[in-house]
Amino acid sequence: MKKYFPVFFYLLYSVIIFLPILTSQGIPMGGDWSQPYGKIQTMVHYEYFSNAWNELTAIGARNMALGFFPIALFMKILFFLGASTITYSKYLLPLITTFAGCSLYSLLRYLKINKQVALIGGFVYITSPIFFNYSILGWVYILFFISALLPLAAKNFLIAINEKSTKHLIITAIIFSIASIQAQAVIIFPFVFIILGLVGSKNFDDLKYLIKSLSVILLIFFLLTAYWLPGMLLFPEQSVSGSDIVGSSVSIGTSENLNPVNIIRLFGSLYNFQFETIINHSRLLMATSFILPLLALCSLLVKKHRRWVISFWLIGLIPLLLYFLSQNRQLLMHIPYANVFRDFSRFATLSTFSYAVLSSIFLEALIKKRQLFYKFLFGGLISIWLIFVSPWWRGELTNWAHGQGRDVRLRTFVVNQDYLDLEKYLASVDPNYKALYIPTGGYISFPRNEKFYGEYKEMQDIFSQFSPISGSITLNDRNTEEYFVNRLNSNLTGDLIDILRPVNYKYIILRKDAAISDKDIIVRNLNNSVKSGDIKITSDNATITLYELTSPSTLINSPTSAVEFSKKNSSKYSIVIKGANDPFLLFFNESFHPQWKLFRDNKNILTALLHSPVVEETSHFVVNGFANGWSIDPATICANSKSCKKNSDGTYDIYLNLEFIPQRVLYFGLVFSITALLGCLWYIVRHKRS
Amino acid sequence: MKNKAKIIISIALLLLGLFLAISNLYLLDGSFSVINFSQSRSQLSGFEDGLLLKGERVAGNFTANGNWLGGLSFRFDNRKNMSTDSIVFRLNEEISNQLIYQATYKVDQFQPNKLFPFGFPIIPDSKNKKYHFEIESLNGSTDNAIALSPISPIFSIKYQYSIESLRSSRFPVEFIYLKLLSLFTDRQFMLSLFIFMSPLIIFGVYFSPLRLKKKKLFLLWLPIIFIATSLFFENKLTVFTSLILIANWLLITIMCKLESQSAVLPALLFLFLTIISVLLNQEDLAGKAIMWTYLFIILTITHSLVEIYLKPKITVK
Repeated sequence: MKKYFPVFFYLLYSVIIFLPILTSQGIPMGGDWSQPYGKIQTMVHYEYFSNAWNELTAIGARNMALGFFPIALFMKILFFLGASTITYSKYLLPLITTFAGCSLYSLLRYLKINKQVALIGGFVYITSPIFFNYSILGWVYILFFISALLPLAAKNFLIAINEKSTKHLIITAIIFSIASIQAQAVIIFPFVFIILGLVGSKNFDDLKYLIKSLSVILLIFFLLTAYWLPGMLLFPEQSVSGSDIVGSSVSIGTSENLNPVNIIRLFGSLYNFQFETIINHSRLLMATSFILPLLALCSLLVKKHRRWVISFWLIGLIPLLLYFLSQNRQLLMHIPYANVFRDFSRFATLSTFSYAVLSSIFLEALIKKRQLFYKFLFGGLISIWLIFVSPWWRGELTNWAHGQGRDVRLRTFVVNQDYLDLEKYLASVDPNYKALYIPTGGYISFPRNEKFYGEYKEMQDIFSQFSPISGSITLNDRNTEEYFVNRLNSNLTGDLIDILRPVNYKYIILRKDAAISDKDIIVRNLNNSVKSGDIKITSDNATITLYELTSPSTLINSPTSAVEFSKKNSSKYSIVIKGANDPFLLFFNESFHPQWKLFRDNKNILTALLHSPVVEETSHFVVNGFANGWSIDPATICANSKSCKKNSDGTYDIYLNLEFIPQRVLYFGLVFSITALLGCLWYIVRHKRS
Repeated sequence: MKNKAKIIISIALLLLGLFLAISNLYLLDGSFSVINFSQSRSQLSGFEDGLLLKGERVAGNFTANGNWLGGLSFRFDNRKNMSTDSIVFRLNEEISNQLIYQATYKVDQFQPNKLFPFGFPIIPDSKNKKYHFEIESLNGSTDNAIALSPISPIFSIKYQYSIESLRSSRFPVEFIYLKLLSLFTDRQFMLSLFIFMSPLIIFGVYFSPLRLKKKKLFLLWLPIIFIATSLFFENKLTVFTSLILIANWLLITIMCKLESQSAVLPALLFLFLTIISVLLNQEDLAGKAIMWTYLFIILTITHSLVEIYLKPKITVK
């Protein structure tokens, strides 16, 4: 039972800290991130992460976040088991915080740090500025995948290396693979493994074993991540594999607060600066903000854990190294995949992790001294640290009324029933259309809700992003839909219908309770369109007006032939072209991507995989400035083909499949990943028994 | 060590110090034939600490020490390049009141708190002549203006001797005299000379007749004092200065056979200096002090790695 005391302590602490969230109504709403709300949104969320094509955005885009698939699946299963999304969202933060504390505690215990100090070490970790700021932003999964899993991975890696244990090597690889769902982990974890391994190596044999171990970890990592990694490597996407956005204003902005004075006290991990703002209000707090670097620095005086101290200091210095690199960002322009780790400030995770270990090492050395002076010193240092972490115990985390400007706080949002009713309605209509949600932009602000009104206080627009009828309009530096989104955004007060009509937009959803710039002009234009018969009002209440285009375009169409289609999933459609005779054009109103291919319809999955596309690469082109278009000649594709049916008038009915090829890689990869995971688990269980 | 060797090393360190000080000067001024005389703010009239608003002028007079007057440099605070004002620079000869040069400058090109050079055609016969200069703001307003920097020297006068003039019989002596005068009246040069002579000072203390314990104490503190001096007084820290300061520490570590943990002391001291600077809103000083903290942490780590991997292992039978 004693073994679980730390879990109890960390859980108790987490529950107390997050009590205002746990006891308030509504769903926790991070500064720029949120979980889906309710059944419909959870299903859409799952659909999104299980498909290589993301149809939830304005005109669709390649989904580069497939790594998240297991989490979406886990949420879906939880929902089926009866858990509510609100409960899940509320309890996730305290559970992750508890897990992170336990994770660091367990590493410290492995490093033979005394129990009381290890317990403090865990608290040092979970009360760091990064946990505070990320909790407010709602970045629960970053906290889990990087901060919570890192100490556990480090511990297992050290056991694997020191005790030459294959079982722990496999566990390390599994943890690393899970963590890699958050892209920065792919850089952060190997850094930690290499540093710990190199400094820990006592001779050439150790070094050889280290290289072997790292190779095994990498191999298992590649197998376990086969469901998303090969897709990224085989079909690289500029927004990920490139290095063009390392100099964008977003990339530079995230490191705005990253400077050596901030780095040493674990500040500046975000553009948002919440913990830091609270601390900088008072000179006393400002002085205490150097307590962790002071403790970490003093650990260099401890002789006992020399190698660990050096290893963890080397880990802790990485953010400084990256700071210098960020001063010369042009160097990054030459590194492939630099777009993935462009956000240098997030590497403060490493120094936070290392300081927690180093502080514990020093505190343990102090507590072991028998002289009264050292006891007082220990007490004094702990008191200063307690003052430093006062934003936590003063309840500033959830004190949204104190938050000003960038300094927002963690809030909960009570969803209006009108929004849920609309969602239900949209879930019941033909899903092959899109909806324009006004206000656009991916964030929504409510003038009548003080918590969510004003600059930086907006919330993530989960209603448009996880809607059964998608069409979220956001634009960031990774966005590939720039052409359409810019055109739409700049015409919100103009003739919207002209832009929406060629695309498969059928609905316009005006959220009247939200802050909308130029609202009067937009409403007047929409009313004019109603009068002219271009759109009609389907439903109208105090909160939302739902407009419907009277003659919307369909997702897949042809200017000359009749087209019928059915959606298998976001990455696959079955298409029937009726009565085709002469060469014709086929349009698909999702954004152009060369990996959208047309195949003959084939019921046999195995033989279907062997077939090559029926339309040449050269006949696939961009239409309307963004969409996919194909030029198809029935005479060519119907020659000796079972997927064409000749009609009595000499025309053809052509049966085709439209597929996004990276989805196939996802399916193949999943088979590998599941097999590898089962293999790993089998080895671990077998080893445990033996 | 024999006396002869000590003398040779001392001379070598002295020459090295001089060489580095002069090279450092070249690195900062960009040319040996340029002579800079720093001036005090008492020579300015109409100078106030506040902003330079539209129509306001900063003016002053000076008598040229030498010939080949080639420029005046002023140190401005342009609010981190945020100001978009323009200023007019004018130079007159005082007696004849003849306008020698006038030009307009956009202030967003000024580097914050750095000397900005106002060049003009070189005046070969400027010696002993009196000049009047003025800087006038064209559009300065309370929310968009520049100010003169509070950092000294606030302005300097530059003489640019050409190679041809130095070849003539008249100017070399004058040039050498003025160059030495400018160097020894320049606080920054004297400070850098002090820092570059630090290895010699350390060497001197090491071989002084002091007792070993006292000597070690002295030697441990000397590099810290040198660094602190450079932090507080030098505003032109170059690669040379930083390298010599690091070299001092390495030298002492080797000479006194210090343990790796000795470098934690300066790291802690500079961390405390950072804390005080942050509390006093001295961001520049905090930024410099924290870099020295990091540097000593890196030195401790590197030294520790050397101790772990390279020290001969003691085997117990």
